[in-house]
Amino acid sequence: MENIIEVKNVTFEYKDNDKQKAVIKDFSLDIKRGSFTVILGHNGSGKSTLAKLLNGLYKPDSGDITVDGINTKDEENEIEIKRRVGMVFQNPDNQLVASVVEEDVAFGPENLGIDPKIIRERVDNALKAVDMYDFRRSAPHNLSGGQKQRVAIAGIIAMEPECIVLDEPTAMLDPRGRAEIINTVISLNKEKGITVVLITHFMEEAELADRVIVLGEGGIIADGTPKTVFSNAGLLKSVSLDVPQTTELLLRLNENGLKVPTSVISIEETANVIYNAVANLEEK
Amino acid sequence: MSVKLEVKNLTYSYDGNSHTKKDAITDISFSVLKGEIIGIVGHTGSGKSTLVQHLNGLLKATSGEVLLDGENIWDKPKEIRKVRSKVGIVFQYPEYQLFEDTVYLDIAFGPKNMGLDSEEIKRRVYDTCKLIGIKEEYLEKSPFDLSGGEKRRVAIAGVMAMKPEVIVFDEPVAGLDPKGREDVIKMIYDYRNAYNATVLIVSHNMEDMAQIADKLIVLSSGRMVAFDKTENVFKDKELLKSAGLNPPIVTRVMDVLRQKGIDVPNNVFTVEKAVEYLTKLR
Amino acid sequence: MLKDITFGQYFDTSSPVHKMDPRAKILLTVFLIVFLFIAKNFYALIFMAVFIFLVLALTRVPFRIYIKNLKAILPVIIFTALINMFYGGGGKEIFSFWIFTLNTGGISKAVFMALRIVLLILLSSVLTYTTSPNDLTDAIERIFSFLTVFGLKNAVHTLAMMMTIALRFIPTLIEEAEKIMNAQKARGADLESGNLFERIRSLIPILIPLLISSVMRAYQLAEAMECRCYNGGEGRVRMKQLRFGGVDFIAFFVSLVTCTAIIFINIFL
Repeated sequence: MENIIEVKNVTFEYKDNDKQKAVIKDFSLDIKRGSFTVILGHNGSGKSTLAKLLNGLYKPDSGDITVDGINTKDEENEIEIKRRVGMVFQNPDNQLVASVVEEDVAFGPENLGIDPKIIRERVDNALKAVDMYDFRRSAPHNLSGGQKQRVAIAGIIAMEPECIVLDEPTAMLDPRGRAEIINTVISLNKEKGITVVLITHFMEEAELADRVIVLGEGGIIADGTPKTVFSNAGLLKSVSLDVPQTTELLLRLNENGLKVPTSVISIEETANVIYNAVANLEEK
Repeated sequence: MSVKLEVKNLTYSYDGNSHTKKDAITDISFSVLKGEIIGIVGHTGSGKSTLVQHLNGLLKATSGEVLLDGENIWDKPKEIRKVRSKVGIVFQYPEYQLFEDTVYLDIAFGPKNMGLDSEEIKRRVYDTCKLIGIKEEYLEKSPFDLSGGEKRRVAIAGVMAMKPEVIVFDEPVAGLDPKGREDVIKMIYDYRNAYNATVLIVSHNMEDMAQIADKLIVLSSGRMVAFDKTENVFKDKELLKSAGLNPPIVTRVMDVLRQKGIDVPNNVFTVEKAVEYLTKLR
Repeated sequence: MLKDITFGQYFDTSSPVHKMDPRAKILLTVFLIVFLFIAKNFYALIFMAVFIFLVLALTRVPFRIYIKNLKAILPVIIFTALINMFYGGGGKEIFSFWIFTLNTGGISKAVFMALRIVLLILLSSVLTYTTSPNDLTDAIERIFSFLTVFGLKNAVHTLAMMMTIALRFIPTLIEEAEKIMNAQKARGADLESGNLFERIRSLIPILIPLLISSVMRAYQLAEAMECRCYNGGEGRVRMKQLRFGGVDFIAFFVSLVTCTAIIFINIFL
């Protein structure tokens, strides 16, 4: 698979000396077309900054980022880069513009100057893709957090991007809303083939990714499939990531002498590895 | 132990008088003892926030009453603000209520509203900070220069400085990282232990509830479907399911293990307990 | 409810008037208001009143809703009537006191003015009750888009965008204000008592957090809009294309006939 996004030796620092915002130093990363990548990192690891660099909202101080070969510094293609790399933010309220759902979803395509008939089609399709078509005439303030966030996602896919970057889209949602968003994102990736970069601090959201990247203070500290990255779950916990309770349990069992792999997350699989470990003990 | 707070047949139906729509609650009754930690669970829209806002008189029930130390909080409507210093509420994302120039002034806002003299206000601010571990050098900083987790702690301290006998938290750890979560939970324990206060916590997180709460109130579409010891509630799978909730993840892992024929009890709700049982199997 | 007030007064009954193009509605309203002032005698005004009441019936919005609107403006109507009553000249004198003189001409002028204002209010209520704030914003943007030729395109677009965002965020901010108010009340803030000065002071703990969060929202919204390829309305098209339809032509025709009738009544009665 070819790369859709290439980040090469990028350094970025906030100009206003805001200490709370992380800097990015000599950072490199490739994202493969059609892949589902999860970037895990705690607050202050620079993950939001990275997200905003990927679609050219921020420009690197040094180094280059290319999207489909176009440099994000290329001012002529400013709009095209933002169309190709869509972005969904944490707070669902602060990214909806219009007071009717379908008009909000149309906002992106309208800015692109597309034929109104095609906009209509795209809006309808986007709303169906996130399962919000029945709410197309609703006002955003009457929707739940998860529903608002799905409208925000629809607003991005109506621009027909190649890639969607989601910056902690579930951080402000309840468990139900979180599940809705993760399912939506997975189906966009698997069914529509859209490249997904999901940025989060919830480890369990990485379970179904093709690739997991863990950010620490100094850059990437782990990179691989969920299984390989999670097998070193202790490392994830040490960088103050949110580990699911299953992982917590497996880690503690290991500390207490019951050797179990920590690379699984789901309840079924966790029970399985514990069962196997216990059965092994009994055989001995 | 004595009953601290009693809720009797509390019903609230939304009459369109408030600016924003509230979920209704119907015929809710329970009583809470001094020093108890009670969890209030139920999914979004079940009426948790509506219930909580009745406890200090931010909302007035359509029918039913709230008794604090046996007295109806609305006996003297003019003195409802006194009730609010006795029943403190820490709302969700409390850091958004910070407004003063310094951390000290912000924490002092509640005590000042109680009409205390400046000596007493000062003592309370310092006591609270000492109790929950806010360093003195922070007091002269602007609250807006703090990190997210620190802001949260200052905001919580602002309620604790009123020394409420009952303190209610709405999703106190939402949006915090694991370290921040631990800090806040420790603050809650420290406060409870220091003043033998009654604590009510609204949360979505069953894992946190399993760890903290003595008893749980389960709400479902505005009705209280259970009020019982935490372990009894988590054992009742049908009940949880009907309220749209899941037992803690550990409990679900243990359930699967039991189905596979491993002999583990059905009252394991915390990682500690699970580790204890599973390592004993050898 | 606060929300109702801020939300304009849209009342959806899906009547033929609701289905009209909002641009047509705005233009016709302006047109009819002009003729309301052209009507110079009672016959013309009553003819206009009959026409307006027919339109009211056509909107299927309950009549009491219109009355509610009139009640709010009642003091203005009475005030205008009174002024006209005593300063309007002509006719038989009824009584005289100090500098006030009341005569029949004054009374009829007062009634005439009051009726004119009532009709004016009713007519504009038709517009606000049958057109959603979104459609109004849209229509205003498009009606004024002719200003493009004077190089004012950006101003018109920016204004319309601001109205759209305001409509979107008013409910959000009301909700937020209530949350902050509750949080400060829970800390013992007293918002209900004290003199005016104290009350204004007691708003500080609410206004500061509200301001901070609004600024933060504005910042995030701006970034989100940029990410959705917004660049100040350059090359922007609208999904919803407004088109004049049959209802609009009928409405234009009927209004035209009415207005012609008014001119005739003015001249011949």
